[in-house]
Amino acid sequence: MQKYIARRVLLFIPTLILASILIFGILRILPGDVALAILGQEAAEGGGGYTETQIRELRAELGLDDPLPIQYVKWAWSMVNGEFGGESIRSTEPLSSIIARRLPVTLQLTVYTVLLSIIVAVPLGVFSALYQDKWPDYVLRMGAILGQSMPNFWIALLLLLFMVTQIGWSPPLGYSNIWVDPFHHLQIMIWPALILAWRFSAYMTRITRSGMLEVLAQDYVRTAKAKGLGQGLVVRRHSLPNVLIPVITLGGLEVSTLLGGTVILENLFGIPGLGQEIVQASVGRDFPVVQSLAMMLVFFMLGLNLVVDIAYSYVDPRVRYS
Amino acid sequence: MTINNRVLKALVLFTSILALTMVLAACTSDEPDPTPTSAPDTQAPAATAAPSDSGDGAAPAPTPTAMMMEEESRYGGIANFSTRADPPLGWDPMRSGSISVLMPAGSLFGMGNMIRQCPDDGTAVCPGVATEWSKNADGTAWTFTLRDNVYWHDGVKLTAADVKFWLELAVFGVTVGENSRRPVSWNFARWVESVEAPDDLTVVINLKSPVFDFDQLLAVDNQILAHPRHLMQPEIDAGNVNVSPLDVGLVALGPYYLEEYRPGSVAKMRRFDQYYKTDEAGNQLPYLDGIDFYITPDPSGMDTAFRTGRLDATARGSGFQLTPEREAAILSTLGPERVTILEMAQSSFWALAFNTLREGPLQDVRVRQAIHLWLDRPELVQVTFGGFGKMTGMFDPDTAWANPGLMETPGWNPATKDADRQQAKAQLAEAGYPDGFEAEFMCRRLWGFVCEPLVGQLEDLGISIDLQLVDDATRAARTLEGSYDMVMSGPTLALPSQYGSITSSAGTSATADSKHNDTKVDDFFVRLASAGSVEERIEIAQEMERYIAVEQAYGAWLYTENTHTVVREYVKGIQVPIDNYRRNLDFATVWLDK
Amino acid sequence: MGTLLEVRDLRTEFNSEGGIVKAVDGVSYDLQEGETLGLVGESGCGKSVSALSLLRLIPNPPGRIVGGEVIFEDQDLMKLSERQMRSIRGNKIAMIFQEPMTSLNPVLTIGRQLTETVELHMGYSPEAAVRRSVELLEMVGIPDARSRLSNYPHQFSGGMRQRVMIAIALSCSPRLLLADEATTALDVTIQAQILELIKNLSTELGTAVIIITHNLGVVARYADRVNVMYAGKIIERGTADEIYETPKHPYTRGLLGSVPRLDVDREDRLASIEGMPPDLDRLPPGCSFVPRCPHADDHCRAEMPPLSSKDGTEHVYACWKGHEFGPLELVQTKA
Repeated sequence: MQKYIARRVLLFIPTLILASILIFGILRILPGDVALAILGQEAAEGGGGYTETQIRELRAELGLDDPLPIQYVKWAWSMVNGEFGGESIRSTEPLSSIIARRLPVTLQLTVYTVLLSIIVAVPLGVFSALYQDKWPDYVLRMGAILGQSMPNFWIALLLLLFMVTQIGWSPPLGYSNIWVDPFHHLQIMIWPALILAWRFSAYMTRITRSGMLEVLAQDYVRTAKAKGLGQGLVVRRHSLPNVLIPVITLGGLEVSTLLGGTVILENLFGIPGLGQEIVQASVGRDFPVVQSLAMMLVFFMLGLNLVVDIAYSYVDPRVRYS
Repeated sequence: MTINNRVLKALVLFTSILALTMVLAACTSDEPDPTPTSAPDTQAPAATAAPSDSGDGAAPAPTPTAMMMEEESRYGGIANFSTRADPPLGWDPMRSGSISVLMPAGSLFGMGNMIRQCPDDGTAVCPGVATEWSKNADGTAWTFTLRDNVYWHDGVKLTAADVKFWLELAVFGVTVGENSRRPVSWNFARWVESVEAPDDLTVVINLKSPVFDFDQLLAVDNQILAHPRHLMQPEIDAGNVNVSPLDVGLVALGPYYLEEYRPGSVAKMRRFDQYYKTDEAGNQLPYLDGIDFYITPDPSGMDTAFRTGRLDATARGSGFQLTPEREAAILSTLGPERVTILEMAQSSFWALAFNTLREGPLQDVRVRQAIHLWLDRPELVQVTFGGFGKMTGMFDPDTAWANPGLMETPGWNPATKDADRQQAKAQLAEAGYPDGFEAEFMCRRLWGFVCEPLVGQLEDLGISIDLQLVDDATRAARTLEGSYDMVMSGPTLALPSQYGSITSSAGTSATADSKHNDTKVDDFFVRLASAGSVEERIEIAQEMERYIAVEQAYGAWLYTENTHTVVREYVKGIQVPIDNYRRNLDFATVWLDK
Repeated sequence: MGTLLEVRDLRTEFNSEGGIVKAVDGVSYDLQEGETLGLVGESGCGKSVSALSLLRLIPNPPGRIVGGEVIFEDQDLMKLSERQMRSIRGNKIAMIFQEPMTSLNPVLTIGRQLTETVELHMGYSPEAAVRRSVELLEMVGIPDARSRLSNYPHQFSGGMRQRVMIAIALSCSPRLLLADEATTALDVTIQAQILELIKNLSTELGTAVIIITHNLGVVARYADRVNVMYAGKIIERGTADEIYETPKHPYTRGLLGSVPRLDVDREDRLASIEGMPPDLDRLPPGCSFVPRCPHADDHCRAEMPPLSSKDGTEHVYACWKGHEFGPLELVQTKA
């Protein structure tokens, strides 16, 4: 087991490095150079002209004069030593402080989504499996397909529009920390969490359902029934723990894509998380921020995979003791 | 035990992650944001009346409840306004003139500095923290007299030394050891030789050469005095030369002080009782108890909040100003009687710029004029902006800078469009292109919606257009190379604040959109800058407009977009800027009628 | 000893792609208290389904019990409510399954899987249930029983797991134990141990046992009486001696020819019966065994013989020609 974890962790590091090279590279192969893109945008939007000197100065400021490998190493090292790529061009705020401020918000949204999804998806998935191919199953599968096929932001816009026109209500503005004003906090967070959870729980319901069907056909479930256990115990005690193994594994992997979904919804609902910052930074050509935050997200996706792998080994005794 | 051990462990793991997240959230987001240690009551403003000639001098601070208001303006209430993003660059107006800074910061900082542009007339100058100003005979020394009742939000009194600090920081920058702060590219700065503060209330600016309307250059609204010497000087001495207003808690001079700033969420401004201004009746400003600026980075989110009454006003700035569809949606939810539409000219003028340095038909002035004559601007305004805009020359036709009656001349005048178009065809044939020609039209990708209607009209004239939508970096690079026939020249801003941008898009510089070697154009800018009076300046501007836009037609000047923002019907007293939506953002005179 | 179980004309069907499969097609037999009954046949003959049908554990869909009576202790199990049925399963009637590897829940401890039955049916407190579980594990011969309660199934060998299964099955001292291929998956030496265990414990507890197997050798040794099933029907019944010595049905005779020997591979055991078991959804009109029967004639093809005997004894068989066969001379399968 320790060996297993050690192997996973060792594999994690080269993957991370590869991902960082990709992110670094993608921003470098954008057409034109970064300084010109920044100044060009300002000029285009009426910010006044710029001179060759300004281009040179900005290039120096962004460290673009160094050879690419040096640039990469500098950046990569700053990701490790906690500077996270220096500071934002747009706000001059250090990235470490941006991340410290925004990351918990995104994590909270993610946690809400996952909690909501589990609360909804696991019972529904079980229900769906127990009524396999009967009408409740069809209805639930339909809902799941809808949830997975409609784009998040579109659902969000529809929801906002519906609330505005039908009940004249919209989520409050000005994000609050949950400890400061929990009610206000939840009124804002619940909507993106619900929307994300629809999609996420659609997926979770599907894997719970198929996992449940598979487990229900297992010999040990037959044994449980032959012991005279009722449906409730058969499901809760004998089936669910076995279903949770694939649900945790696949669900954990899917959380990575959930992080992507938060980007757009955070912006729409005015939630000051990482996603909102990435959107604002992309619009504002804030390359250090985009680069470092993208890396953070990738780090979290990969880290999550690692955690899932390890958690998986905990849940499944067969892996744990091997 | 119904759930077995392992699952329990997984659950524990999960809950601990959850708990950790919550704790993290608690630790980081609860950190008090830089908030001024404002103590409005500890140091009452000097109550001695010092009436100024402009009529808005200091008066005894009235108790709001006891007020009898003229024009029924009322004290109290918190307005909920919207701004599109966290103010960038430490809220420093020296570094950014973006609406993202000015929209929330104007209420903290006030507009302008010692003097400002008048709220209702951008070409006129009104008092800021100075009440009087005068120039010497040859226009090389300008003397300003400060009010005696101006306080920073922390209660410290403003002195001439503070203004000197700010002026020098802007004009000369500062260097401490290896760290240096760059000077600001504000237009007045290049003329400043030195600044003196002979006494606490007098500031003298010495110029390198005579500038007879230096006050006009200095008064530009976004040149804001928001840099408290008593807080910034220690930082600078310590080497932090790029200290920003945010770094020192946004302590400033405006009608509101900052109570709380939660990045990404809200900035809460509250009434500063020692604000130096009164209304015309002598009542202390501002009227409101405060303004909450909600950061709404998504226009749909903002619209929704306005429609449900969570916002009293929409944000300004591109993407956030209303489109006809969004405006209609808002009106249909709230009803026209509950909404006031504010229409502001943007004073940013779009042009189709020509490259006359490249071999081809556009080197022939007859061809360029033909295009100018051919383009149907009212139709373009309709198609491109849904009618939210108006046609212009190089300047807003409703301001003094523009040639009077220019909009009734060929090219612009809708009444003569048919004749103009025949003339255009004829000129094209005369130049040797009766069947038209081919041209590369470079356009910023984000402006595709602006360029496409133009392509349609140009093709009708017989020009076969190769529309090339490019990103900003490519556009910048190709602008330096001059590798295009025509280019969509982005909105250039109005005089007098933006000589620079007009130069860059119309002059001979390498970054200009229209390409030519005509040094006469550059001369206009030199003459504009050194003109002795407003009248002379206007004369030069009009001559320049006739030369560039009509005689030489280095570009076809088209239109300006109008910014539509909406406020609720009970929001009163907003001073709607006639020329530029980046102005009048101090909201000192706003009050709520509810 | 009275009759514990009477099965009358039990019919169980499955829906399959090819149509309705009559997995159990009118099976009748009875079982005395404390008796050990063998139920023998090739895989797919319906013997497991008939056992599951007794407990009404046929997965529905696709399966369905379409008819018959199962009188157990004077109650027709087919008429009980699901709740009443649950109080019988694992309590009065217990079952041991073929695959000890998969029949235990991999994520629950052995202890949990043992205690739940006695808690459920006998109302034991958790502590009492644990004590009982230790007893049971010791009874089935698992050393160090107390500490092994917290182990997971994968920490046991196959034989040990089957012992655990037996312990679970016997935990409520059932009146009837169904052992469905209980030893098939085990090593031959372990098989004998497990069967001995079942035999001894059932004798001790007075539990009747139905041993379901494809292995006549097992039955011959442990069963009092034997039912031989083919294609969903019982085709021969008699005492173990009768079946073993004078099998009357050609199928039984074939099976006996394939009694496993230690020196022959498992795959060869049924080599002496030609052909494959029939598709249960398209049975021939007459005797189902006709396609594989060396003795079949037109009569066999036309009409299914009834389960009877020429001489009126308890040794009955469904073959027109059964009376013609004498005692079986044990012909060794090819070595």
